[in-house]
Amino acid sequence: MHISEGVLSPAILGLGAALTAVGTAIGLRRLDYDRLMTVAILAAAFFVGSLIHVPIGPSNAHLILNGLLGAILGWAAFPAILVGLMLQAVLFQYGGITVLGVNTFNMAFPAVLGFYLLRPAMVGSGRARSVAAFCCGALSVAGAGLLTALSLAFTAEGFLRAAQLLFLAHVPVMVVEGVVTVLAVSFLIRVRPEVFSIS
Amino acid sequence: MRALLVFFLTAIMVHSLALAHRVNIFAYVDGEEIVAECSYSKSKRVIRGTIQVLEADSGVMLLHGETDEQGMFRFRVPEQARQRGSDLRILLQAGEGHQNEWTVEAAEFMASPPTPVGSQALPVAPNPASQQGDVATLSTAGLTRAEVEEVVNAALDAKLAPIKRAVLERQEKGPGLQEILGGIGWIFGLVGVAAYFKGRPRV
Repeated sequence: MHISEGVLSPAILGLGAALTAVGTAIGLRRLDYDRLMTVAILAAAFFVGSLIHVPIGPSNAHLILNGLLGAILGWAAFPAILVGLMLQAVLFQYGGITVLGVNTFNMAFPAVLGFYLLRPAMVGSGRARSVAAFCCGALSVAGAGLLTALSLAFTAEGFLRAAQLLFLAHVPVMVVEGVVTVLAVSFLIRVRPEVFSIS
Repeated sequence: MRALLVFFLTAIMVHSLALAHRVNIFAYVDGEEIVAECSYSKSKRVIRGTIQVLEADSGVMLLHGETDEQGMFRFRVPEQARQRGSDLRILLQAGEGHQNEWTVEAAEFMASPPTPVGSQALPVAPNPASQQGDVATLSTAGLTRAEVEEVVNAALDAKLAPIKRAVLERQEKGPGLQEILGGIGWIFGLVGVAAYFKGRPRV
């Protein structure tokens, strides 16, 4: 999911950076003092999430957690993911600084969509909540894959091939993320319902 | 139902080649050839990744190809690069937006010029510093330049193999505890800054 340095054209890089700047500005404006720690904890979870390898069958996958961030943070997922990706780029050489805008938008925008579409059902109860949380986790990963493939549409690789590869590669991740999101959301609603009380 | 199962199984298999954070490339000169080793991590090689070899200053593509099952790509040093003494930029595209590159400097391959066809027996100049033993025998045996080169190259390859391996492993090493804890520290530091600005002044 981390697009490397030097792959994309300046136009796409610029567009990604602009969209991320807007998203981050909205996220920061809506962020109030009481929720800073929640954002920090989730940004840290996102930052280390990609290092946690989950064995699935003969191979393993790493978590992305963008769905979970979207479900809890809404627009604040933008600054959280931006910081997480920036540190991954600087410290681990995943992705890169110039592609930071594109990579952030690709992961954060589906998260915000998940927040608007599925969050109302998530604060409900019982089965509806679990289904909504699962969808939020899984579809955010799928959305990130789709946006990544779209970003690659104008490179030699082309949209279709990139989309196929990315989708196939992330099917197991989608399932795992869905489950993780269900567990995290139901746990938080039981222990810390106030996390979900502010929009 | 069965179709779905097959789909998931393929997904998991394909997945093993596809999911990664970044790709690594490491290239070195091996005799007259340059060998590029491409990997996602220590155990996962880049299979059928696209390789382009470019002239570093002009950006002209000299040759291209794909990595094999071991993630290796071998090619002869292009004549053009040898003549002009230009560095080679080896670009690896592994798909899904993963890309990395490695530059082989001209000095690395210029040191081993191509073996001239039908090389004559050039007597090796006797070394005045060490007249006894093997060296003396060597100089009188009338070894060709090519033969000497071959022996030296073989010895150097053997000696340098662990160093190559060490460089590769260093490059492929995942992030350590230091980086991870450092990153988390950064996040909480940034939140501190945000809290400073967002905090309400105490009355």
